[in-house]
Amino acid sequence: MRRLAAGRRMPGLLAALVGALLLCGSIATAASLTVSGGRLTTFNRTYGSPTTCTLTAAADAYVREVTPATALGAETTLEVSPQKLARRRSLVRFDLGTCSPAIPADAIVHSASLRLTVVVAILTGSRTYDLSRVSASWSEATVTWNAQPGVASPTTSLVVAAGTSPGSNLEWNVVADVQDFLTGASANHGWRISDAAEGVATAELLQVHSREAATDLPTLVITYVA
Amino acid sequence: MWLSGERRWRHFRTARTRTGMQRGLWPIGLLFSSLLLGSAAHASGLSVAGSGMSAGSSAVSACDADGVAYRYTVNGSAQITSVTVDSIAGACAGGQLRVTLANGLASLVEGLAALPSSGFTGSATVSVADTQSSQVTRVLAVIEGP
Repeated sequence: MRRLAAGRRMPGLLAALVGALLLCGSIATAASLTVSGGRLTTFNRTYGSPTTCTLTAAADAYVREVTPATALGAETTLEVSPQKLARRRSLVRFDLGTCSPAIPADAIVHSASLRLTVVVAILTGSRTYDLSRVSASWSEATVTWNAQPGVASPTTSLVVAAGTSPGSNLEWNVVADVQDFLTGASANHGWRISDAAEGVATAELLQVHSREAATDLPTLVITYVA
Repeated sequence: MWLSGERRWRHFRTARTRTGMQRGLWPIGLLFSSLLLGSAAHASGLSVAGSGMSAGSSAVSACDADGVAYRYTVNGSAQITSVTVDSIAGACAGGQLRVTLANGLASLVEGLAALPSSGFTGSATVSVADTQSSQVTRVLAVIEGP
């Protein structure tokens, strides 16, 4: 009788099972049509609203050809000059890791600007200033003309006109470099600012505030999504 | 007790019509089939989101279950020129990577890269047509195969 009782349940359950398997089979077939020949593995990353991080320089210095062994990292100004045998170049670095919130490596940078504020610009005409990514580490306490780090090809340039007044902001677009710093494609050793046409006879001089100044410190403004 | 075929069928039909409990099996069967259908539909949904998918009788699982990481290259005009996808599982070697940059649900640009069958490092870089970084709100990576 126990076997018979089990048999009595069979038709209902079996019909339901077969119906379900048929329908499931249809669903599986429909899914496999979308796959078109293999498995699909998908990943989705959604980005939020833009965030801005503003940093002041973590290190800066300038180097001077006429005093090639002197470290000038403690000066309150940074200087750039193309004058022959008296060239001056400036270095500046920002610590992207101090942004709060931290910028993740998969962030997308919308804009990044390096801003320096003019103390004085003694120019006989417009000058072009190259911004180049520094390719080796340096310390503002020890960097000198004789021991200055190498640089990559200029990232961008900025034309500064004669008569640019003190307090003017100079801004270089550094979006590509900052994106590379974040991803690790390039090591972040900062940038060098130099005159694009060094070796002239005239005493051109661009002087901007350094991070040791009281105001208008070198600033990096980054807008990104994460 | 074993009954002959004719007697067994007669006994079965009689038993089937006279037990109220038997009539109650149809709702149970219906419930059972609903559960199965629900599971199948749920599995289909998961497959779209990156988990395993079954087709026919053989199960097909995602080649990478723990996610990937993205790195972007941006030019001086703040345009994305390439996307590097890192942390791709070795099981995806031999597949094809498709990366789509999108603004919401609107696709902006996409690029392809083959994942080599041998010597695969777990990373692949996909070049894309220059796309303004501020337009991108979503990135979708799809690995077809292997």
